[in-house]
Amino acid sequence: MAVSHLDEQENFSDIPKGPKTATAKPVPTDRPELVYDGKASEILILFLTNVVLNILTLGFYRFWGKTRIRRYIWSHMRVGDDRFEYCGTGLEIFVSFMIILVVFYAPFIGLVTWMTVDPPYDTPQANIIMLNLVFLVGFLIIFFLYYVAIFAAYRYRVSRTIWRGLRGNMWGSPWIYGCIGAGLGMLNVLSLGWTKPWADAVVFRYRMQRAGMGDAPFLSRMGCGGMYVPYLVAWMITAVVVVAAYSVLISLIVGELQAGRPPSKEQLAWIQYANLFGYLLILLAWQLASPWYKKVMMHNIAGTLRFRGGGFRAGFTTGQLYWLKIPNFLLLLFTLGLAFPYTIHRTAKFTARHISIGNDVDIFGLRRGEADGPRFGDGLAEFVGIGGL
Amino acid sequence: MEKISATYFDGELGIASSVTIQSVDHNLRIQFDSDRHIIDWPIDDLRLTEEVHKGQPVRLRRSRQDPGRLVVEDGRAVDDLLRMSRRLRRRDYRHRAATKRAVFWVGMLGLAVVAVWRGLPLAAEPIASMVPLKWEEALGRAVKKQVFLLIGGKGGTCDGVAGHRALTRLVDRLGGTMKHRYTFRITVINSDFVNAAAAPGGYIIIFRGLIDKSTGPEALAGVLAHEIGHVIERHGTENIVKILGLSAILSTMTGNTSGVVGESTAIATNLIAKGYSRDAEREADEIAIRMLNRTNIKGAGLVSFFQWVATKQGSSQGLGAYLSTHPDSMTRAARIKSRTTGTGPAMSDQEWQAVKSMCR
Repeated sequence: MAVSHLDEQENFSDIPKGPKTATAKPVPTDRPELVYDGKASEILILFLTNVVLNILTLGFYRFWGKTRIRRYIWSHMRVGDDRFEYCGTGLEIFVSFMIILVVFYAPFIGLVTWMTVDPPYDTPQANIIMLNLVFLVGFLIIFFLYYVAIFAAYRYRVSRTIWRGLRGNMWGSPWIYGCIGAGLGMLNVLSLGWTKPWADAVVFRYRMQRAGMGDAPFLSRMGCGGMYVPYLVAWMITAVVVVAAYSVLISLIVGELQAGRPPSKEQLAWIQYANLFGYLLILLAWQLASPWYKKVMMHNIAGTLRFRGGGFRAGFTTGQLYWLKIPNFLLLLFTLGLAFPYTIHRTAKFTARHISIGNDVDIFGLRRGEADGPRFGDGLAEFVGIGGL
Repeated sequence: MEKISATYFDGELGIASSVTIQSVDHNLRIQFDSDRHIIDWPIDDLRLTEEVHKGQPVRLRRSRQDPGRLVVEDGRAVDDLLRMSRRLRRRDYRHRAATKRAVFWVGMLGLAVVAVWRGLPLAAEPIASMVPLKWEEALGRAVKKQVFLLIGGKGGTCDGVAGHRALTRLVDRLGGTMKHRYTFRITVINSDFVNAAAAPGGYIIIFRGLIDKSTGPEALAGVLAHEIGHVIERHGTENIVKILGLSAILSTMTGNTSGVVGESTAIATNLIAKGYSRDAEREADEIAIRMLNRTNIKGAGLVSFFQWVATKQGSSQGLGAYLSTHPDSMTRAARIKSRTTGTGPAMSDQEWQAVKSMCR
């Protein structure tokens, strides 16, 4: 097996990288290994149950359904002989969801409905400007909350993870992370994506640095070294597809519409579908172009992570990441998301197979940590489109 | 009960202790192998940390506050013990065969999908009928505004007073044959579009193109009767209920709202909604036929209009739009021909001339 790309090899002096080091320092028999032994059929059944109960409850079962699937995955993931435990509850997520629904979402929808149905101003122009202003503010809030939700979801899951009777911990504030993430996200937009590798490293490091298991923190020295070349390749390919797709789309639309005539219903529908198709094409292009970048980034994340004196390592190749990502993407697209459980299963299997824990990580001397974790669940994720699992 | 060996984690130190467990007077007695120390957990307090599947150890905890965890590798050994606890459900630690469960839930999914497909239109009607008239009218005004914005164009509205009076008289005559709560308000938009539209709450929009292409007032009366049918049956409001319900169900079904899944469910919603709207068109046609018969207006005008539409189908964009959500024109023409009994005119020649010159 070829030795994979490693950014900071000096961290890995104790991890076997090939035959040479392996003979120099034999692997102890109790070397902790990440193993996933879940079955796709069981997750599919759990998911099917969720779909049916979601339909019957107008979607409100999903917090409990999600919890069941998390429990299944956590309990089938183990380090050595010790399985993880997920101790979150559906109720916790439901409560957090309801809080956000009542405090933020419902007033916003109410405001927009009121402004459309019973416009407050006398001139249509003023109403349209006000409505657009409301949408703009709503969009900015959602943009910020998206990053808050990422951290909150991450913190909730870590704090509800138990291993050998000890809880995971997470420090740091979702609001600060939200500010950093949203700020960098804006910067990425303004720089047309050229700051993304650096921004990615910053946010990952922030999250990694603030996680821990029991009383021991994770340490991350992640930088964006090595990430720029693969990113630029992915960027160029996607940019070419974006430009090509939109110039074809725009020329088609301009050709189709006759000057001075209003677009017909059919043409509007056609434009809508073409737009959607262009969007999917760009998504697919990014999926096809980005695995090299993602591989380097994940190797970088694992490679710069330290825990109780040892390190980690990601050992997959770009090809293997392709084989994970592309079928997952296509499966989701063509099954309206019904293949979601299978994609989770594949991802869990992939993670366990390719992430290894250095045998210098002293994982057995942990104690209980200080933090109790958040009281509420990660319901915010539902509002910003990252509520999958 | 015999003694079973297990592993205990106290939640303070991440150390695995070998213990022996057995039931003693409604308690689960946990005894450490090293120093014989004893912990008792009331059996009724026992909870599983998760559902147990084949090949997975049984893991037990006590209450939310107690961080202690007990791991029993051989799940069968504790079967009797688990059965004694009131909190535990057998199906959480002894699952039935995967195939049986899969078949059961696939069947349930099939039933649920049929229930939504068939039930949504049925549910939309009573829900739409609960919407107060005021809301419907507000909704209608909003829809009307949208239509203006989208296709109103520069032509503006046609405000010929005599023509407007004639149209209102016609619409009131048609609407008067049915029981409803609406006041019909007609707007004629100066546009080549051959179309008419009904917004909720009694708003009817006619494009000048339709008046121009009508062979006579009877054809126009037929189209108006069709639009009145939409209003009376509250199709616009029902449609909003259906689409909201459908997208809510489809998008929450999988619990996944990520980009790809969101887009593909949007397409599915769109396609299903199209199917619903064809049913609504048929319903509006039925009502139009009934109104024409009750007012004794000739159906032949509408028949010839549809025949003319059928010959032009697809060749003109305005017509293409009119037809996209409507049933096949020839079929409609044939059905109207066989069902209409009226013999009289829709309005006087003088009135028809006033309508035709509304936009001048």
